[in-house]
Amino acid sequence: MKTIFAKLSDWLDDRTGIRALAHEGMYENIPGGSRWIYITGSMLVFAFVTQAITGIFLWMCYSPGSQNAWESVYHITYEMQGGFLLRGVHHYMAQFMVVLLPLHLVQVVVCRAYVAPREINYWLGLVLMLLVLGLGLTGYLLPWDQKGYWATKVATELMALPPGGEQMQKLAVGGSQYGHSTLTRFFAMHAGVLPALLVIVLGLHLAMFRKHGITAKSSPKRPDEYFWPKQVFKDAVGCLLLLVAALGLAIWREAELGPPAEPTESYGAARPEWYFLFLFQLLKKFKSEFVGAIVVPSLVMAFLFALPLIAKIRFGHLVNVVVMLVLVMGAGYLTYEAIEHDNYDHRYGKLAPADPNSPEYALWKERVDAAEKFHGAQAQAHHESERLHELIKYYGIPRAGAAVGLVQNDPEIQGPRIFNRSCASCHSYLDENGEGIRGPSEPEAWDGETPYGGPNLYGFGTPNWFMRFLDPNKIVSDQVFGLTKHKTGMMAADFVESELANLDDQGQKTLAQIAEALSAEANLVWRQDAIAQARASGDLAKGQAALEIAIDSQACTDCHKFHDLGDLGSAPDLTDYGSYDWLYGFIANPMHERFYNEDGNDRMPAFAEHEDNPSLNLLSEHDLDMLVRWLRGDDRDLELKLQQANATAAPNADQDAGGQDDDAPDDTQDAQ
Amino acid sequence: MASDQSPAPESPGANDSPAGEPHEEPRRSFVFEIASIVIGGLVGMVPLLVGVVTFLDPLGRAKKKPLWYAQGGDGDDGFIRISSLGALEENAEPQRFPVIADKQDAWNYIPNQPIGAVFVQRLADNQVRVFNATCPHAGCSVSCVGTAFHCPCHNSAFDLDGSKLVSESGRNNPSPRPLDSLEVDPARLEKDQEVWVKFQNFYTGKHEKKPKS
Repeated sequence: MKTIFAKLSDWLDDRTGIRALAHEGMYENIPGGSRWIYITGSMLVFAFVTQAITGIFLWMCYSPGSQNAWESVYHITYEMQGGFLLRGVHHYMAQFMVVLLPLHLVQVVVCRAYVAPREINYWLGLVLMLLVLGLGLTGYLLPWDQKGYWATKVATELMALPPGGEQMQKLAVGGSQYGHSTLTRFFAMHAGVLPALLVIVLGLHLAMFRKHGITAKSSPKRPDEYFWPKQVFKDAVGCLLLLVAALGLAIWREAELGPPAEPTESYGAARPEWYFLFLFQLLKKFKSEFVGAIVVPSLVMAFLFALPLIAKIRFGHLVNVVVMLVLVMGAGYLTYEAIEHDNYDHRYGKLAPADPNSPEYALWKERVDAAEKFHGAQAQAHHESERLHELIKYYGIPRAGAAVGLVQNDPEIQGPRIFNRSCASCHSYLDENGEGIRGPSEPEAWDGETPYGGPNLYGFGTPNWFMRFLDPNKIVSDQVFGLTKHKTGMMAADFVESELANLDDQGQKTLAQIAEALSAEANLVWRQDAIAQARASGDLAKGQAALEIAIDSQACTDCHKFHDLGDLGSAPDLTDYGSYDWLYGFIANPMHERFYNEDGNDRMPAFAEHEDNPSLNLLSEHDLDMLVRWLRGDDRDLELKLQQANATAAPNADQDAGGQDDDAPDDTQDAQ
Repeated sequence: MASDQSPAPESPGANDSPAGEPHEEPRRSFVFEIASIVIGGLVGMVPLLVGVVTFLDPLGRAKKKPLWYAQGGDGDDGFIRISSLGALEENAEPQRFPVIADKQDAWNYIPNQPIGAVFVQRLADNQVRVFNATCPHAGCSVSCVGTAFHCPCHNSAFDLDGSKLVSESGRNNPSPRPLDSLEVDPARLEKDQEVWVKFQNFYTGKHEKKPKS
């Protein structure tokens, strides 16, 4: 056996000279012996090889294109076996590369390994650094999530600053707008052009390194050693650590995939990858973007390229080392500052400067607000991501992609956005803990005219919602009628505060039953169980009876209509109050006679009054649909929605939901 | 130059034998050699392995419907509606129909997509004959020319009952088996007068008709 192996080895060596090559590789002399600090170069090579391998496998699963990029990365991360690990290793190894680069650079500078005759090799190293940073920048866009999209967009926007930059930008983006061509170009750069250049330059870098050898000098204390085996061992251990760290992070801190890019939705937490944060922060230091983004970084790069030349001057090396360290520490500080500013609210949120009129207070306030905004956007992105996972579980990803097909048609994601845009200038949406969407901030002196403080719309259509209107203590709060004229109107002043002020226990109970009965009119999807329960226990029937008595006794029907009782005209119709059609109609036109009429409505605009010409409406049909479904919580629980869909699909399944509700929609149509 | 005082190995010729070079006691370095090989091999293999695991994903991937489509829809028993019986003329030549079903395409789930084609021929007595339009030879799509099925790629030909035809010129018919017939749901055919087919694709080029899962 051994002879065959030896023969094969001879055969191969005769034809390739492989033994000499291996010998040259393994038995390179290291003056002063092997050292741990020499491992950074090998680790960088290893990291690159890992990126190449994992990158090629990712390539087999990734699809550039604005309807496929995010979707394919989702598929890799959450559906393919081991995909999260593959992407995670690629994700984290990239970051390790960027950490190792400056270490390697500083080491080279401090050890004088950049001076003659190694200048060219040093310059090759700088080119390698730029290539790796280019790989980081292009790779950040590829998942096409909000984070990567907006961060990379900023980077390419800045490209247009220098003369001729507009054309450069157009070429990089593949047009004037981000889209398919941006991804195909970035992907080709990331997976093709840059790695190929990197391989070539790395080859030259290594060849030149071998030509000049290690910079260290032999000393009597530390005898020379060969590269093999001790330095190889140290290098291998370094690579192992790197690999373990990348695997560990990939498992314990799965590589993030934010919500998919939406060009129409700004993203308040847009930040470049952390290793570009120093550039991001640098930009903020200068009044002119051109200086911060182009001039200063170019000067720094020019300095780095000039190091070997500066070293020829007396004390030049010393200057180089000092400036180098200052630069690295400066970049480190800027990174720290960027992170600190984004976390300002956490660290200093409760440490307001004493004097609210001082400039320190203004600065503090500004920073806390900015950081809160940043965290808010992050939390929203996280929330939307989770919701999107659920949507994908239920609906799959349609061909239009996750952003257009799912995000833009989901009431739970769109509702708050539309509310923020169109409703939050008057209304708030705050839960019991005061969390949610804050309405307009309270004006210092309210002129009684400026739109401010419509009802808090949280919990719309629930029994609690109605209880608030029937409770004399609650109805006067800003949360119920806000600061509209209804706050002191007939309902509040003439009825609730006088008639319902001193109810006994029985009266309270009846009131709760009435609220339950009114809530049953809304017929909220997620309250079906509760409604069924109220029906079973008889509370619902009692409430309806009480309501009818109340209405009959003219307590409510002075103003409200309820099914066959009372008339339309002065206050909202209680028939089907809060149902989809009711709420849709209300927002479309609160001045309709079914709701408040012209004189009853207090400043709420009609958002979709032009039925025949929807383009004139403030809200599109789609947005209104999203808003109504969100306020009613129709899609909140997809599980329930699914059950309902099945129940209505099956012909015999609607025994429970039927009954009295059946004739209600007819009334509604008549009324309209 | 720092490497000036280094010994010979800077320019190792092919005639430098490795055995003459090491300047260290071999036993100690043996441990490092083994460790280097083991660790080096390990760190090289792991990224490759991680990639291969994901690469092999299609082998173990089971079809999964999103919950919304998985509930109570048609075709849960594997049968897909092709046509009503009334739309087919008795004993006319086979008609080509697209097979419409939900399609899972990696990350996309797209309902109601054409996922294949079948030939349906209505015989007497409310009987229908259904074939998968894919040629069992190499997977091209066959067409029906009046009295026979014909494959445009390598000249496979089949009788209307699906059996292999031998051409009059004696040219070889490369198909290893007859056209792949598909199962028709007899209950729906009789009760609803509708053609529901259990649509399957089969591995081509083999003598036995083995369904692709």
